[in-house]
Amino acid sequence: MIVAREVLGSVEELVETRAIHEKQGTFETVSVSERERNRSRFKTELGDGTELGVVLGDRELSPGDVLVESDERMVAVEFERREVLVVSVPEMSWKEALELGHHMGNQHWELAIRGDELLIPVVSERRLMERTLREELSDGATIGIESVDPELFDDPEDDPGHPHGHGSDHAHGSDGSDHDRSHSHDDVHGGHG
Amino acid sequence: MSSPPTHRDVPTVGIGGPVGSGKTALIKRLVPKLKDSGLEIGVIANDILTQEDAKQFKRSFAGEIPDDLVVGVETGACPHTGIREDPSMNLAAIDSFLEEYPDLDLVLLESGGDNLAATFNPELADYYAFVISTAEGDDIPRKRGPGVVEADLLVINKTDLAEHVGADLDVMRTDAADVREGPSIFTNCKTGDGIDDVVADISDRVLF
Repeated sequence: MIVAREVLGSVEELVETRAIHEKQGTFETVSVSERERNRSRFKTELGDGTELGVVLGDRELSPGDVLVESDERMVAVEFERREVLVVSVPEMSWKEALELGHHMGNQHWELAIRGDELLIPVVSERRLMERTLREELSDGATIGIESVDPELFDDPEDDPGHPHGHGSDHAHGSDGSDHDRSHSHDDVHGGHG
Repeated sequence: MSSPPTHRDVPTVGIGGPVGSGKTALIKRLVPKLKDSGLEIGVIANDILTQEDAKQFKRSFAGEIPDDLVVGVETGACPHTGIREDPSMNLAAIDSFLEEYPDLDLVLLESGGDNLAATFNPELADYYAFVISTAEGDDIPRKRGPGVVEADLLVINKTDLAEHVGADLDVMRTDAADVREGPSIFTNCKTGDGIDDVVADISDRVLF
């Protein structure tokens, strides 16, 4: 098992090193899930089955971060894309929009806004989520599906330049900032039968 | 470490699951084993409105864990709120542990008993086990609740009661394997059966 306790730089910075590893066939990326990238530590597996422990502490991972660099290998991070429902609504009154937002909050769903589209990560069965949404949407609205960069849902305060995304949870870290770290679920109070 | 440690600097393990599934019993079994391997541990018990579980832990772990490393968090609302939507009370409790015990090795977080949809915010738990019991019915894994499906570990407790409540352990084993990618472990917290496997899984996946 290899344990990475720091980020050695990004692939953009380590161009020459990467080129050497690419040539040797020893460069690889490790796909990091939404849940893993928000934890302070996680364990994953490399292409050849080697276990990789990642200890982040206060650091947040970014795509392209290099976790391992040795004679044998160079390992960089990529983020697993998130499957989202893409909702396009022709036009809404503020009351309808408020009701839709309230309804989505009740479902603990995350939301990112991209232009005129609402992006909602698929966190339970797609058909159930679509059914719930349909009840709130006008007839002209469309619901599509897409795989997107998970950073669309990150808090813009953490990384300016991102579209404004809002999670359904706000973990107030010791720095007092809001983090969007949710792994939210279609959750109904009471036992799930 | 240049800055004082925070909740991001200590491994955190969540224990969730329905009311009465054996979360408290599991933690009572885990703590001595983890202590034996030389770890300093803090325990946080989430209850809706009381300190009952925290009091129970303080009694159980007297002499093993300092009193100020066992705290109760009163969520005041549905238990999942405190572990998922807004874990700030729990994070603050971990931070306060670290002020006094900067070398703490592990924090165990017990959720209040909740439904099958409860999951831990990844900001709060680096790993979580979801505890169900045979007495709740052998169809629980098949119901595919997010807690069951997504937990790092599924613990199926009270194996000793299965025969009395007509629960088929083989069905539970098969169904759990069908709905989950991660492991499942059968335990009997009364006798300690299966506890070593739970400790091994936690050690393997979080304590490095």
